[in-house]
Amino acid sequence: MRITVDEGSCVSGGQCVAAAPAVFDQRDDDGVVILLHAEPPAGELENVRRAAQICPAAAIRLEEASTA
Amino acid sequence: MLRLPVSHFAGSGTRPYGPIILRRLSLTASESRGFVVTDREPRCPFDPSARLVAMRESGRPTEIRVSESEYGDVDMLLLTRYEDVRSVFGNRRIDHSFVPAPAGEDSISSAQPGFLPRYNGAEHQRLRRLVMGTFMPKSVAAMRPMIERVVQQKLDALAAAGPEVDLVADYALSVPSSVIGHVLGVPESDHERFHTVSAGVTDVSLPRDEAMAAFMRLNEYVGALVAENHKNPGDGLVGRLVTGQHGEATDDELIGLLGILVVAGHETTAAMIGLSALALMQQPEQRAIMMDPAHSTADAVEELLRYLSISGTLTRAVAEDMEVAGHPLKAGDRVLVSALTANRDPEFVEKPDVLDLTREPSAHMTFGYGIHQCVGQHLARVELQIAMPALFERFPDIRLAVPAEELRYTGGGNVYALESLPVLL
Repeated sequence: MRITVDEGSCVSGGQCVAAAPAVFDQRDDDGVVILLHAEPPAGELENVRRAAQICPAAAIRLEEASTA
Repeated sequence: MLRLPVSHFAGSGTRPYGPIILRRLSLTASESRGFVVTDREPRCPFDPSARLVAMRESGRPTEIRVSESEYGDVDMLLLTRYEDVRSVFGNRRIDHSFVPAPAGEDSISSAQPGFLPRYNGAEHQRLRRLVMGTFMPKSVAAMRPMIERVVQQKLDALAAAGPEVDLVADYALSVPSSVIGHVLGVPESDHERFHTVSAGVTDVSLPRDEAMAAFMRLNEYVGALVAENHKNPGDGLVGRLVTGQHGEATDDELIGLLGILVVAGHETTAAMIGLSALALMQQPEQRAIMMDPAHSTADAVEELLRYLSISGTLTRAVAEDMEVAGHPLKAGDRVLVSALTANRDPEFVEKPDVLDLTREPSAHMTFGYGIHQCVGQHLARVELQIAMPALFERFPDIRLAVPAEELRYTGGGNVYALESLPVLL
């Protein structure tokens, strides 16, 4: 899986951090998303999918890896 | 649909839907309201009314007319299904919008820049980002010791005032008021005055002119706080804002922004504490789950947020001609959504009308969704995670002091809440 985040549309809701704290963080001054791991480990995939699903700004995009 | 008169107000990033007024000054007076989105079933004050449920079960949006004696009738499209509510909240071409103020009259929020809910687009994002760093999960986690201290202080005060107390006035309202005071950087010696000023704004029983006066008092109070922090910047949010640590804003914008934080940070959490206490007194098996260290307190609170659905009328306006849930709308048309029926939609969760604190956390609509989603949601969660177990731990025999049928509720304003909750400790 490959994650991309759109900082421009991020509303600093912190839902991604609540769902997948090992993958997402937030900037201290304005709460905008920081992507810690663009290619998250297998154990985090479920959390990441949930983060993308609940992101209020739909600012998280996931490319599911093809099993090559 | 009725076309509402269009006027302009200063500030780019806002769209000209007409003057804005606080919902509680327009939609809340029960005698003038044609419809209440937070309608509950009289026999079970936690459940949506049969009328609201029937609307959701029809599978279609409902055209309703909100009758306002002051403003005339406003036609709106009411959405009650989870999927529709979420899709309206998440649509960037559907803006937050209030019902217009009477012609020629100022409303509080249109007179006060910085009042976050009325902004949309880039200006909304600029203002929102000024405060979001304060309400991140990690920022709120650092507030836990402060919140625990506040909660213990209020429990001590309850014990001293008992055995019969009003849990709404003496706990539900006073905990969030103190917490938001600490967050802003109000000196602790001034918390009582701060509480009086903020409580005035959340009193939905006040007539319009008194409610306006209460808002002016809050603006004056916050204005003085901003001025004081200019002279002597404190380490609270106000101090960080006036020193520009989170970005640039005018003092007027800061006053409006801080004012809405006070209101939104106060009555919403208070409503949740009061109703949660009632629900957990009435359902001892759920209360046992809340107190069981083997169960997640965070999950329990999430279910209370879903089940109690305290958020009030949430009005939106479409920015351009579009279809909403298969219904054609013109630019400027109003849309009303019910978080209450969305959270109780059987297509969203199984057995939606059952309070089950062991439920997997759900993506409920209590904090809204989309760009206007509640700024203080993580703070509210932590306040509840601390305040609810602490209450029952301190007072294990707590029980209602009056029959449940005598309890009175306020609805249709910013929140659905208990007017008072007399208990024996």
